[in-house]
Amino acid sequence: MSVLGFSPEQRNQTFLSEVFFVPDENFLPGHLSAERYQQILQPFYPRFDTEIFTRLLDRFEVDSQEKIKNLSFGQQKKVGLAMALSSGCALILLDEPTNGLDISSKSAFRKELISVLSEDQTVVIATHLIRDLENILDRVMILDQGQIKLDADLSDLADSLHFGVSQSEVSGAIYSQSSALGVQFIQERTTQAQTVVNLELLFEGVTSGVPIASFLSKTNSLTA
Amino acid sequence: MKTAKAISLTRMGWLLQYYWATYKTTYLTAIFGFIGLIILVYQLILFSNHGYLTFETGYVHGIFLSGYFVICLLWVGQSFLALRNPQNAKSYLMLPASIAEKYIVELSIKMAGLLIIYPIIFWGASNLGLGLFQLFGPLFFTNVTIDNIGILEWKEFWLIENFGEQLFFIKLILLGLFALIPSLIWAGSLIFGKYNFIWMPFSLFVVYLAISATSIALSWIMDPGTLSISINGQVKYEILKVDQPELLPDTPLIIIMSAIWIWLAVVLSYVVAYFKLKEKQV
Repeated sequence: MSVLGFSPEQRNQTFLSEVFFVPDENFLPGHLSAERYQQILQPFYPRFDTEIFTRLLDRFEVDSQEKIKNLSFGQQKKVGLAMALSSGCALILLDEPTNGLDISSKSAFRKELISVLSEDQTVVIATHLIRDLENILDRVMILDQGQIKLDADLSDLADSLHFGVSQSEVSGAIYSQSSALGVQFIQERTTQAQTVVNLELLFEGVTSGVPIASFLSKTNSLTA
Repeated sequence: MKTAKAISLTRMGWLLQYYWATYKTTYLTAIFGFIGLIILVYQLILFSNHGYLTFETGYVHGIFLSGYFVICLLWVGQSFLALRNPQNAKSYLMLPASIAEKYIVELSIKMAGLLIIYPIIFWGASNLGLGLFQLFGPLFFTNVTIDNIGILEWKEFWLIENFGEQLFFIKLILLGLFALIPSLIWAGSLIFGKYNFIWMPFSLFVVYLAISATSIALSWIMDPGTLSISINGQVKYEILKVDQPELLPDTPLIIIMSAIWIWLAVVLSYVVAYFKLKEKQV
């Protein structure tokens, strides 16, 4: 496997300076303040932007002088996210980034994620809380039992599939599922207007074995 | 993407700053804890012996060497603390520095502690311990004969008396054994982790048994008369003398080979430790 032209298991220092990983659990040294941690970590990341870091902590309402162990789980998560978004790394890996964030922080995170990132940066997000982030994604990869079941651009999905809700079963649906709102369904899109991709429904469909990729019109989709 | 140098002094400097910021409390606790321990040991010995102790006595060598082993086990043997739990291991392994840089910086810190800081704190704590006894000893004893506090003299720390007169390869073996202890324990910290201080001495004991058994078995193969079991079950054995051939004056082949094997083990311990670190994955 090659990432950014490197083999990750080699842990080359140039590769590592281009990758920032924020795990779901707390990974920050508790006895340091966010500011001190930033000071010792910053030299390792050549494009680290201190101004962005300070601004993000302000935006997330985190006291940069407070020891990390005295911060709540959500605030610790925000420090990690602020580090990642300020790092300037080409690849940022976020594991359940919105887990532990309150509603306003989730909103702030979404906005900052879009505004801070440049064109040459990629963010890979692993999450179960898909609704928190579905409006900011470009591409979606669905994993099930360690296998990639679907890897497709969101625009391809929106072009090729129609997501809807009906009061009764819909004929010709690729996948449907009853919910409190009625029957949610996925159809192959023909003449219908484009709809917002319902990622939860898509996930259910893909993991139940529906060959969604075969309905995609573009060629850059992939199935395992 | 252009690849940076595998070893950069600047990056190692950043790593040192990272280590200091992250483990400052641990380092200071270790230093002050050991100073306290040395002072305590001095008081125990002085107050229990009713005598005196200066750097000229054999006691000091004993305390120093005991401390050397304890430092090897608890300081060198507890290296790479970040790898002890998965959360810290992720942060540490993903820190943008090469494996060689992380290895060199950690090893430098540990060896600086063992070879530079330990002798200094030993000297300081010894003086403090002796000073305390000078101060409080007269309260309990009528005849306190300490009249001066020892001054650090490196020759007093020399490990073996008349070391300078030993054969060259014997010196190599003796020095090799003292170099082997920290190197094996260093490798053990990456192999056994937290319980290295138990498993590495245990492993060495098992190896010692194996070598002894091999020597006895080989002697028995060469000369069955060297091993005998009497009727009451008592085992008697002797090991064949292997003082021939002599490759150098008064230096049998086995002595030369022992020196080579010991130093090879010293070097290989560091090599094994490097590859153990390299194989760690997030």
